[in-house]
Amino acid sequence: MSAVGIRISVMSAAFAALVTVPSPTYAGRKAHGFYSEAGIGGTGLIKPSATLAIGPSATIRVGYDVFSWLSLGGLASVTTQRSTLPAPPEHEYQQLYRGGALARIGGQVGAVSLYLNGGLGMARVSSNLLERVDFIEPGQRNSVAFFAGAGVEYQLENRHYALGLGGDGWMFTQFKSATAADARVYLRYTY
Amino acid sequence: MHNATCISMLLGLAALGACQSDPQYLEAAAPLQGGMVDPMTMEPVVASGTTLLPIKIETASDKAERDALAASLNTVVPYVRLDDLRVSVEWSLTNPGTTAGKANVTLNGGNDRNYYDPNTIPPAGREAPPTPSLLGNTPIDVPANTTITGMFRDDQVLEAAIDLELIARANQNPFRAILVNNENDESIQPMSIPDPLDPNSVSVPMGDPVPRAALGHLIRLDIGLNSSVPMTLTYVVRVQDDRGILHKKLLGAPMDQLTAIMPTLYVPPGE
Repeated sequence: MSAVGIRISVMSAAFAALVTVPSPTYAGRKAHGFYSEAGIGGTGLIKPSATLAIGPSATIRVGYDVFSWLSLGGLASVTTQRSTLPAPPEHEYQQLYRGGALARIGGQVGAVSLYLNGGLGMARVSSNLLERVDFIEPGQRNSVAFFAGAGVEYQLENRHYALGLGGDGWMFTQFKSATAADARVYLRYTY
Repeated sequence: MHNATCISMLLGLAALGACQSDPQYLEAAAPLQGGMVDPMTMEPVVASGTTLLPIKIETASDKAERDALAASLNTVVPYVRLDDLRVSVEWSLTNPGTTAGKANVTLNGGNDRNYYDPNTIPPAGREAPPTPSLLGNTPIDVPANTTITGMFRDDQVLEAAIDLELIARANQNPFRAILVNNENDESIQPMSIPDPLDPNSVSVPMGDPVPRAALGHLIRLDIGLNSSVPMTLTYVVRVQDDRGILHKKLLGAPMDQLTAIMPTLYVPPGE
């Protein structure tokens, strides 16, 4: 078997172990308490349009399940996006950093959870690219940010793990109310 | 270690490093229109635009640090030095007409003491080539109805800054300074000025070499456009500020919070 084949086999076995390890006491039940999520996805600016391309983003969320239907926590994410403004500058990238507090409400039907979430935080852009379209003032890099969104989660057999798909809309008040949309897939671990 | 913990650590490291030297963009006040002809002389007019980097006023601690460095190096040390900034210029050149043309996009400029303008230095003789610009001495073919883009990279602008020091501080001939690559020189050697009345007089080293740490960066950028047909040049200066001396409001900063940049025009010895 080739090295690639072995690697795929090992990864398959690890994944199978992750999703099928039986837990006699808690099988099918979701863990409750502190959690962390790591996700990757994409972010695009809605307003101003045609300024930055959709770019990859990485997000972490941590928090605590206060009740089975309510969680409180925080998030941090970083996105990098390529400028689509007319040159010059050409093919420049801008990073968007976000952090904040969030609340999530939802419910579970079988292995599937549906939720709504929202929160408040801060955002920072790495450069003044958006100054060209008057969406940031000279010297401004930070903004208060609001977000709201929804998602769906699938509880794996292992009670600690869940896979999820989520999306959020963001508004940045100091950036002339610029808006963005996020989509992400993530792995959630509840301790 | 859990996947989430790994990614958290990576995100944290990325965020820590991300705030350092993010590029900032300074737009030109207006596009340059090239290819115009002076109706009096019928000579093509070189369009030019100047960008002054918005450098904060030197603080007392910066001044003390600079004085200490000057004392240790035993030479004059400028406020904005080579390693403080990474400067590049991106440009876009449009030939809107139906005739192909040639163009030169040039970069000249100044540090906090001198600025260099090749148009003020006449050629040495009737057959002599024109005095070169610090950057952009290669003509560019621009087809009709076409836009092309280009860039003076930060390493090229760094070289231009060293070339200006070689010309203005070390008395080197502009041709020699500009045509020889000095980007990695650790010092520059000031030279004597040959006696124009003595044909046997040559330039010889004069005084101690000036170390790289005492060389100034370009803080005034003069972008020029010389084209054979009407063309439009737009450009953006991209700055990465490694020392934190750029005003955060950039070109929108109040003038009284900026260092006054008033270099004197370089005039060749004997002119």
